[in-house]
Amino acid sequence: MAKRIGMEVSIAAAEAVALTDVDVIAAYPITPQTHIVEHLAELVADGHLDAEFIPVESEHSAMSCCVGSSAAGARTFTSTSSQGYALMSEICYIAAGLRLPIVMLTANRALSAPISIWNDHADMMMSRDTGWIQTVAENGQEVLDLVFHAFRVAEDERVLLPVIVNLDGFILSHMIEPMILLDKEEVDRYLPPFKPKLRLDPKEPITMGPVGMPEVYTEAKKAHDEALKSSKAVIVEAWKEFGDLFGRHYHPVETFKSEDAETILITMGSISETAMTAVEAMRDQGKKVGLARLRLWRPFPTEELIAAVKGAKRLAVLDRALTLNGVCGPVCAEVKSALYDRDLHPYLQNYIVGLGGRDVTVENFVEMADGVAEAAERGAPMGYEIINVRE
Amino acid sequence: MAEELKGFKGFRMSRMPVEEPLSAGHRACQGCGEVLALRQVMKALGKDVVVVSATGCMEIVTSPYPQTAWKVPWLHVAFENASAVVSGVEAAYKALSRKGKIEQKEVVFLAYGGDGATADIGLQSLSGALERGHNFVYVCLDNEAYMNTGIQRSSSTPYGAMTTTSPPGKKSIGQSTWKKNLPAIVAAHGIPYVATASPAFPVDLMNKVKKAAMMPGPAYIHIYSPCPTGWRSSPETSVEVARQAVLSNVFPLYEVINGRWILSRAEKASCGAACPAGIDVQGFVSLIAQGKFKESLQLIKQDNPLPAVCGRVCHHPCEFACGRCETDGAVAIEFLKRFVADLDLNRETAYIPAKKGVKKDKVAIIGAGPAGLTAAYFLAVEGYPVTIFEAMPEPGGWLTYGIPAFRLPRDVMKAEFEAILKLGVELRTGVKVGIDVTLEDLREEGFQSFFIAVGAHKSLKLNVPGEELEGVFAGGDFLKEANMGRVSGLGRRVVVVGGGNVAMDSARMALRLGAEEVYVLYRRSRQEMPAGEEEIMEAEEEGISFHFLAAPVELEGDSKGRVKEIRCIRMQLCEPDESGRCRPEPIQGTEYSIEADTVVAAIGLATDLSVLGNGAEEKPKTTRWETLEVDPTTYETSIPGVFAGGDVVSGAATVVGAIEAGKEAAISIDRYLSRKDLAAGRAGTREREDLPAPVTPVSGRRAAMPRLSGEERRRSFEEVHVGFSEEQAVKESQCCLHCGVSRPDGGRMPVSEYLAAQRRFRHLTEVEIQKIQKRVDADYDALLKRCGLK
Repeated sequence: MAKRIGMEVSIAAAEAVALTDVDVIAAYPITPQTHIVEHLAELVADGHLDAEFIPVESEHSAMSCCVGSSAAGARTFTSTSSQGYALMSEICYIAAGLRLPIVMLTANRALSAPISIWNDHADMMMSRDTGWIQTVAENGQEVLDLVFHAFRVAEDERVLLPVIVNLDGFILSHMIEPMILLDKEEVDRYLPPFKPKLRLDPKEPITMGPVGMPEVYTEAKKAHDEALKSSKAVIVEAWKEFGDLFGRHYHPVETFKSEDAETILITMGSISETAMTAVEAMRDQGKKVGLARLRLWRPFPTEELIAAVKGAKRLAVLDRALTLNGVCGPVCAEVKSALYDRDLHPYLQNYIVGLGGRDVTVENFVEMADGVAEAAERGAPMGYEIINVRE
Repeated sequence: MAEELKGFKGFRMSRMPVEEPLSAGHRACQGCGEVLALRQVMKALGKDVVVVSATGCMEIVTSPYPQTAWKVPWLHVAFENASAVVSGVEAAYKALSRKGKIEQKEVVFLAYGGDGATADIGLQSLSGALERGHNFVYVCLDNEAYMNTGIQRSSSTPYGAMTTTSPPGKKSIGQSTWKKNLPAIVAAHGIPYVATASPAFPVDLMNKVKKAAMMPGPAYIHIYSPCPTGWRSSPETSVEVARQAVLSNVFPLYEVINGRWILSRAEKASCGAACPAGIDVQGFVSLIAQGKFKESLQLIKQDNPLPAVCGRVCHHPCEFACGRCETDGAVAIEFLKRFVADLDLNRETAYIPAKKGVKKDKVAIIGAGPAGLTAAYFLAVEGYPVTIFEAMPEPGGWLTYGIPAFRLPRDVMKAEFEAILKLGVELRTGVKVGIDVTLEDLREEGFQSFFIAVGAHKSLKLNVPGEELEGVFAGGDFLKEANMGRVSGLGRRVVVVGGGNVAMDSARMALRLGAEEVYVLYRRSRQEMPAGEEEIMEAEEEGISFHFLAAPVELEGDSKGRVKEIRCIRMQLCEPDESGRCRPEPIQGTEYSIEADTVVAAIGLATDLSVLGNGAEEKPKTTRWETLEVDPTTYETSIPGVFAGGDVVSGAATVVGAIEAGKEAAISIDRYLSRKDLAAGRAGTREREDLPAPVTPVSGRRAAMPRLSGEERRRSFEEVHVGFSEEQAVKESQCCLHCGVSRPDGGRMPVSEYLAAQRRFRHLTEVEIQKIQKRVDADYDALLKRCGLK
């Protein structure tokens, strides 16, 4: 039976990873991912988890070990943050290109400079184009559930892609929360053992990672793109089954009071919970405000997003990362592109929030919802605005 | 040796694995030293291996999708992380097999990368993987620059080399830094196995790879991998450049096993290791190839004072161990030895080694055969006053009184003996020790130590009725008498009984002494004959008939008491006996007779221990075969200071075996007289268990020895073998594959010679070359110190 626990999300996440009977963990210390890896090391050291824990000398090597391990057919896990992700990113492209079902927890953190250990989504955005599946958690419970989901999807023969589960550094990773943790039997029911179709085995030799000459490179990339695109059906299916089994339901885009909303806020990650509080408060004041939260970042859930926001007159898209001097922030760029393709033209304002650990409060959401309504009224040009900047 | 390497069996050129895990069909450049090295690595590892490749030439040329040259699992990820990737693979296998998810199996995990991927950008991941102790082999294929991107310098580029990012110019000589010593950096991690290797020494390379795989934990091999494209050297010189790098000490070969540094130079090629006299075979052959004939002879004479003799009558185990044996024929090592030895037969100019000192203790050697002469030679070089006592009128023992002149001309032999005597060795002939004078008498005369080397000259008897008849000889006696010119009137038909070299020599001798027909009677078949293949063949060419599977049962004489007929019985071969040969058994009722005017029973030789005398003094222990019992390492008999060796110890055996005994006994006598431990550091050094089983060399490429025709030589005592011309000798010596790692002359190749072959060094001035030479010397010196050799 699943049990109700109250513990730090990082520790619980490590417990969840351990429940998957993971074989190899390779990781390098970096704040704020630290506790996840530390606890896994403890579990291995105490004999609670039968796995190889490789204490590598860098994140680059962490991902490299994961590639080797996964290619050899082992269920493989790692975790990182920020600069660590930046260092390993070269190999992240390769992990996906080689179609290796590695699972990574990214405790999202800002990128230097200036150096900051606190949360934003710069690292998540950096990993955007590596070809991994990416899901985003809003609270501790979701972290646990998404870990199981990640392995299930990644290793599905129809998918075979690595998965990042994003959780906001400190805000989630270091929070003590009440959560429900599945037991071993439940996890086994949901997550079958990893049976790789191809692995590095002298009995059936294969060549992995060959040179892609110009006559095959494009095709390889096309195949990868198609794989990522078609993974969505499996992602959704796996969430549905998870909901059927355990009663917690997940969707590529989650909505909150959006059905009749004139203004919809679009968020991703832990700020969504604050946003819900703000939406409730605004609804109490009679404002027709709703919320759409991106649970799935890659593959991008275009249809689900359109379905969620197509009735709204105004959108406030929140980005917890900055595309320096681009048209708008990265999430907003996706949203705008998706709408443009469907010939939808709501008034849309992009807010850059919560960089490097800056708090995003209920009041901020109210300001943003009101702001977008007011700007639309004025017919102000659409653009992006970094909020909470101290003058 | 490390415990884990106890079961290690080395590779041999003659027994290369057939498998090619890295198959042909890759797209490497012509003359690529890297792909050659990698192929050797893969051959050594076989198919139970998972390979992780760093980005680089080898990855590109072997894996252009959809083609692959890999027959084993292979993974390429990126440029700088092969060590980390292989860590992951190894950890996965460990976890999966521990958890019962995969079958437990011995799989080797190999990662390889170029110098840049290893020494520069990959150093961190290499260091991490080494420190964590994963069980894997890392191979650095060092071509000394970033070749694939256009010949840019790396930390492995040698000083002075021209690359595109270290171009020589008005203000630069090219690469201005010294090559990073990566093997030493790796060794500093304290991992169990580190080695350097070169594809010019494939057996050494493969052995190191195998050892690396056998050692648990991380192992690292740094392989010098010439890149003719990048180095602007000629593609066909790659292997030669790889060899020169080693010979010039630019890239010395060594191992670090559990922290112990071992210079690979000590590894002899299999030919030299197979030589009982311990001749540096590869060395002297190399010197012939270079036209350094005198130096070649001098190198031989460091181990064997009788090269002209051995160049004719040695059973040449070296050739059976030759790396070319099973391909296109062993190098004609024996004939090459004869070639350089024959150039030195002039008595005026013959090479006489310098004496190392002057000693006072007198040594007596009993017997002037090859064992005695060899001991005398080495003791005289040490400076001892040596006296040889010889029962016969001439020195040489079996060489003089057994082997016929048509195989071993008398003047050749004498010239070599004289060179030994010129060292100041006194020879007293016609003295039968044990009869004319006893060891006790000699002791009183002041001799401090003795070496008994009286051989085994006593012929075994047939033990059939009629052996006392006139015209019946024992083989040994027949040859002795014939060589002294005391045999005549053999009659029309001579029958020789036996299948060894004495039988062959007797038969051929009988022809030359006027017999019209010579039969050889042997109780087994041709393939069991103990005689050398060449001797049998030459006997056949001379018209000698062989009767196999037949044995004598009785000799019948005429009324005057002279043999006239030999009664034989047919034999059949049964199960192999202890010696591995098929035991012959007579077939009842198959007796038949052959007419014979002379019968020579050449069925074996035994020792004559009358040398020990009949006196009351203490005598050395003997064995039940009537040979002297000695310590196998020191050749000391049961009496301190009295040593013995050669046939009197081994029973009738080989010339080179006698030379080995003489050489080793000389070392013992020197130690005995210097009051040193006789055995220290010697035990087991002459064991050669790792040698391959002898194979019959195939012919083909191998140069044939020019010979007199069968007809020309039947009645002549002229030497059958004419000898190689200089051209033939040089050409043949160039066929040596250099299986071993020893340098030809123990000396060095100047660095300038190494640099000259590659255009990347062409711009260097004499001053810079000298600077490099100095640095190479200093580095080599440091290496010798690490190896405890200095």
